[in-house]
Amino acid sequence: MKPLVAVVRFPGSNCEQETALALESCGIRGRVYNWNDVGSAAGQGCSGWVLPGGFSFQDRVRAGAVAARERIMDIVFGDALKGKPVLGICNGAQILVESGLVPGWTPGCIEASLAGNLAPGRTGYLSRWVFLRADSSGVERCPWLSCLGGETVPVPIAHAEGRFVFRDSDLDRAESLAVLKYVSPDGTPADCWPDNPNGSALAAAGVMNPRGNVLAMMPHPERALNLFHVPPNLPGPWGHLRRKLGTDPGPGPGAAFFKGLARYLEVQR
Amino acid sequence: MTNVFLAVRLKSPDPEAATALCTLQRVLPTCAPEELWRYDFWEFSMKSGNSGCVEEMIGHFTDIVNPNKHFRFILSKGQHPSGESQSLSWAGVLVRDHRDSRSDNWSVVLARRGFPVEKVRWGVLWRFGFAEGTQDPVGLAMKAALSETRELGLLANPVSQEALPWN
Repeated sequence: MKPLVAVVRFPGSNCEQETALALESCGIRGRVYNWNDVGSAAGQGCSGWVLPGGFSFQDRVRAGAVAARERIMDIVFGDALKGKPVLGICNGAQILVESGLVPGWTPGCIEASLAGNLAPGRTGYLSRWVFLRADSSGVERCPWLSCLGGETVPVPIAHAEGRFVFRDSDLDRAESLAVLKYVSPDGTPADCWPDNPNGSALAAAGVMNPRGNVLAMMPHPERALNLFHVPPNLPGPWGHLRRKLGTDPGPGPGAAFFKGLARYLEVQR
Repeated sequence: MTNVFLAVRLKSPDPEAATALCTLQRVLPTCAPEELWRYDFWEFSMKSGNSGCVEEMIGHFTDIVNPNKHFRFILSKGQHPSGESQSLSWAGVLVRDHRDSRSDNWSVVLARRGFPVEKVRWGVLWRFGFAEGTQDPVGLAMKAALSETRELGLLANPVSQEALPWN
């Protein structure tokens, strides 16, 4: 029997079907649960959780703030503390940060923020492709990053509030948890816009908890699942592959995130 | 330099305030108010002697005040917007990002249009209406506002935002 991973649909989520499809494509049963279907979600005994992208509760008050206080998050919180893998994508990442699961030095305490984008002369929503690289600590410790190696991968972002912020006093210890970073197309670290698209501290695109089982990432890997999702004009090897193979249905750069989880769950069984 | 404060709220019921109120009543009932109102809050730092041109300035930008859908109140420091129920004890909390591009960009836009503005800061003013006789409404409002944990507070993330009493 394939392992089951729950995808939580909050009012306003809009990426749950693609996310479940991405899990299925890697040999995992991805099942979508409504946020208020707490009993079913808890009773199925899922092996992990994904909080998908979208606009939970219309981003009212602050993106992710209201969803983080829903009852289903009590279950996600408990499973995360038991070591089950949890991934938050975009709005899901905002929910994990507002839940105090990421960075999670003291679980439940809010120790980071995903604040409004900071970009010169721009404000509001930002939608484009960016380049990411996982550092070696993330590849070793985080199930979702284990198949990335040191490769530079292009993945799209689409958000208005995606800038990781830490207190000055936490920046040193945050460095070890900011395991997924924005880089330039040739893989050099991003120190400013446009490679770091939102002014994120430490150029962080994804931050895990100290145990490594929870990852909050702003880019959308499910939107880069297939090669034909990659824009043909993208620089780097993935763009080259796309131009060469056209609309080939082969795996895209985002598939590695879900393959990493599949491999992790296989080892756990 | 003179600071002018502008509070703007919807004429229709504000869905964001309604969601915030329901969430507070559910997760933090001891601090939840009877009513919660939300205002966009603008602080304009004007060059000395130019505070009178705020009316003209906001008349140019319906992004700040759209008279078809907004009430607007020009306030002095700590002053309350009018129109709130007199039978409740009111406390205000001003929530602002430490840094936000909306404020930076409006500062540039208004200066470029020739208005005597040094700096703009945008935020949200939350007005809590507690039952009459409630002890320490400001303290309750601050407790409800500041999100130290997922069980405590809702309206401001202390890592990237400040929450200040406005009374």
